[in-house]
Amino acid sequence: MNNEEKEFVAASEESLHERIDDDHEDKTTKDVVDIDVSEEEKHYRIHPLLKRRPELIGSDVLLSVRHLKQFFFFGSKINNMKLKAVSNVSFDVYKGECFGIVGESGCGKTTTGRSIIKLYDITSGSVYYRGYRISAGSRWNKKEIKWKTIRWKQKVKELKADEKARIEAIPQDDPNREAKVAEIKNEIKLEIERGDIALKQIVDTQRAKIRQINFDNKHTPKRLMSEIQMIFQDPVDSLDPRMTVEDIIQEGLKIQGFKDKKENHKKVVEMLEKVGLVEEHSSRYPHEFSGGQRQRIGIARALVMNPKLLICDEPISALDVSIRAQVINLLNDLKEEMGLTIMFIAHDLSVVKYFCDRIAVMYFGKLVELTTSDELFKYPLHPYTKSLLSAIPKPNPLTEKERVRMVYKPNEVHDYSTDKPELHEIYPGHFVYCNEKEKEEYIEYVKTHVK
Amino acid sequence: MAEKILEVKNLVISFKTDHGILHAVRDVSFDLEKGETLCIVGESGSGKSVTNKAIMGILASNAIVEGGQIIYRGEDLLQVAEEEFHKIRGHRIGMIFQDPLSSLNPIMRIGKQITEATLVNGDKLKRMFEDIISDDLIAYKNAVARGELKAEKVIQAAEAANIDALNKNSAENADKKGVKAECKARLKAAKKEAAEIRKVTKAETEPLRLKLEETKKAAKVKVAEYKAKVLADYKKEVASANGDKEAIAAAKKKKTDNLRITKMEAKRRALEIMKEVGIPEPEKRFRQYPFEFSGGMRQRIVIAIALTETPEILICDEPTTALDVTIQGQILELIKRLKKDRDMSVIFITHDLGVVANMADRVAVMYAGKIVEYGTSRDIFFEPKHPYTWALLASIPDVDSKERLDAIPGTPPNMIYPPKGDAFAPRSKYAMEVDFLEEPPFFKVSDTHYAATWLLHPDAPQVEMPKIVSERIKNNLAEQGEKGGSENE
Repeated sequence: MNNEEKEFVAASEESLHERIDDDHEDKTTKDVVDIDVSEEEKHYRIHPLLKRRPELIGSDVLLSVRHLKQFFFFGSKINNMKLKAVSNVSFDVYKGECFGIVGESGCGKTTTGRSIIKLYDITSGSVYYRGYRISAGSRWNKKEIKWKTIRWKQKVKELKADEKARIEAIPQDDPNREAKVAEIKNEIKLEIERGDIALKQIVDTQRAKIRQINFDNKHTPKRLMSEIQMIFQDPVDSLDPRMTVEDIIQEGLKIQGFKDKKENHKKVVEMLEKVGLVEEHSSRYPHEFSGGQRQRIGIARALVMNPKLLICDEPISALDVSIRAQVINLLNDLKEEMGLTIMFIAHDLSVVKYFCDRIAVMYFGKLVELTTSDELFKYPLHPYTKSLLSAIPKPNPLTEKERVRMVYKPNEVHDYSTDKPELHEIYPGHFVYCNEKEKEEYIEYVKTHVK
Repeated sequence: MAEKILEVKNLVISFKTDHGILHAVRDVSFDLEKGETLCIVGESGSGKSVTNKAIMGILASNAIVEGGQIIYRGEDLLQVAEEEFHKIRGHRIGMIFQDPLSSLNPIMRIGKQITEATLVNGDKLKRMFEDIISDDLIAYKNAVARGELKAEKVIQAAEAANIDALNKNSAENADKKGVKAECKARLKAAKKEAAEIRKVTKAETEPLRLKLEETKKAAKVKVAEYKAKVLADYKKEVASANGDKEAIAAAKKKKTDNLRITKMEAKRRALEIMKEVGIPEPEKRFRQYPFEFSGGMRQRIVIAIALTETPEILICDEPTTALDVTIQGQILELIKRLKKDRDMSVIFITHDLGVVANMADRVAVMYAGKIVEYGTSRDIFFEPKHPYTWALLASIPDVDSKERLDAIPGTPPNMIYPPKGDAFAPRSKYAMEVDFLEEPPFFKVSDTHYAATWLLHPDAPQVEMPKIVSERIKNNLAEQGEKGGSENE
């Protein structure tokens, strides 16, 4: 990280810690047990105590990511460091849409995708799928307990000092001195007691939350999880070289408990044909295939689980030019055929624009802009988005030679010293990471430019 | 017309592999003019990197140059001996590789890697000696190398014939033992012949060797004289300085400068170049290791290393493929600026047509080891003629539209068995019968624009380019029109 980026991160850091805990307030989960268990829950075998957001169940929101944080800790005990790969990212993915995430390498877009399917234990925040929490992290809650306790201890010290000062302030020859001292002592004592109770409440609620998070992570419904599948970036590294194509594709089915070999083989062949391969390929090994075909195997492996949400992590950036279009078209066809919702992670903006309905732009672990793809390209608001868009090379020699690339320098453009930035909705459906002052500027800009 | 600085003529390169002979480059010709940027576009495996490695003389050891010429300054680089190539590689022709991480040494400080070349060439006495003997040395080595090449060619031909015979044998299942014996005999005969050739060469090159020995002796004397003169000058100056410390220091510096390039001097030059390629805080960066750099910075280091000498030609082998769009933009701007400042010619290899549009003066499109179309970038982008160029232009997703992409069906051919006729025919929907039978020659479209496709033959049916391409071209032209219009206002 260079200095500019460090400043960008540091400037926006504090607002993160002060954020409101909007995990939807505990409708004390125990009540849910008495309610009729719906068909859906029976189908997915969802534990009745699993945390859920009732307003999302059955709604259009398929995936909801709330305050996702993913830190990586490394270094020795003395010199321990943490890398904030993703910090405080929230977004919703709607049913049937194609949601794109773009950004430079190292901005945390891949980590976001991997955190969602629980390849990492997330540090903090929650991920809801169909309204049920599938993954959560408790770091924030632990920190909350720690800091609140420390602050309260400081407060107690201050109060004690205050008490002493006030007692000393009473003149020695005051006839009512003892009564006054007792009064002050009583007052302070009461205050401390009150504070202790408040702190205890906070600690108890946070502890309950941590318990719930641990419980949820333990009891994630497998059937629900198998509806989210991922296609990986590198078609060479993501396939086990010692397994045949059939084994690779079947692996997920076996894990999910489909033991009927004939049935599984039928499913594999069906999937192979869907992605443009033939039955003979099923007994071969990955090294016998070209890059494009391997990526098709990766797609078949994901699709055989009959997913509803497909996370594509740069599925075409390792492929040759002439093969890319084939894979894009294939994904497009499958999306319509199987009614998939796709989360598309890439750094190639023209591909993302072509493929996605809504696009989120990430910069060093933060979501800086989120809107529909047409709008993002027409009216980019955040300066980083503008610089990204200005860097796309277009296959047109006439305009390309005159293209001016904009440079994004966070500490020159933003002044976050007093007012901390947050993700604000500038107008319906268009979110930008900015502070209040910038928000007004953006609104002004939108009023004059957007019709 | 500008001066031609490099000319590649009918280059044919193959590789010996376990599966047979791989025909990587099949009859490639192009030229590079002074001060221009030539972009070579193609898929991986189309032979674009191999062509450029041949220019640099760094082909893998299993490569066979079967024919052709690479003419640089009136010299055929394919015939040049390794000794002489040291003077060209890096000094006159520089190269930047694709992956900036693997082209840097991970356990060597950046500074050392940049100054390495300067220091290796820094011993002035050695340089002087080499300069004096170089002509004779090269003549001798060339003569030896030519003889060796002849001998090797004989053996290679025998080996190739053997592979062919064995392959044929397995196909027809004929008498195996007989063929094997035949192969053995053939190889033995070839080796004998090669030995004969080597003997003849040795006899022929004897006078050259003697001449070289003489020049070496003369050169040694000359170098010793020079050194003595420098030292004498130094002593004289020290004597005349009369204990003036500054004067003595100056004299000492002059002496070392005359004898060799010191580490300090090399560092000063390196820092200058690092600043030129846009590395902030070069003094601090000088002592760091490659892993401490980001991808873009690493690529800048690689460029800096290429620029420690002053190359006339810079070959960039996909320098931005591993980088992000923003960093890619920075590197492209850097290369453009350096090209202008240093008056270089650039060969730019890529498969990203957007980058091509940004960089190229002229474009060569390669497919399956051949150039299928070349022309100015305007020719290629606005009047493409070859079906492969059409397919390339149609298959990139466009920012402005969401229509279905025209994907190229199938995969590139296996170059161990190069297809007969037009290599692209099996994947082209415009292929005619003749495409599968005979290789199309280059048809002239305009003075600068050539394409190898039978569609341009006068007897061929009139075929329009796909609609998606023609529409994009129309849009692009319209965009330019709008822009021009607004500028006029």
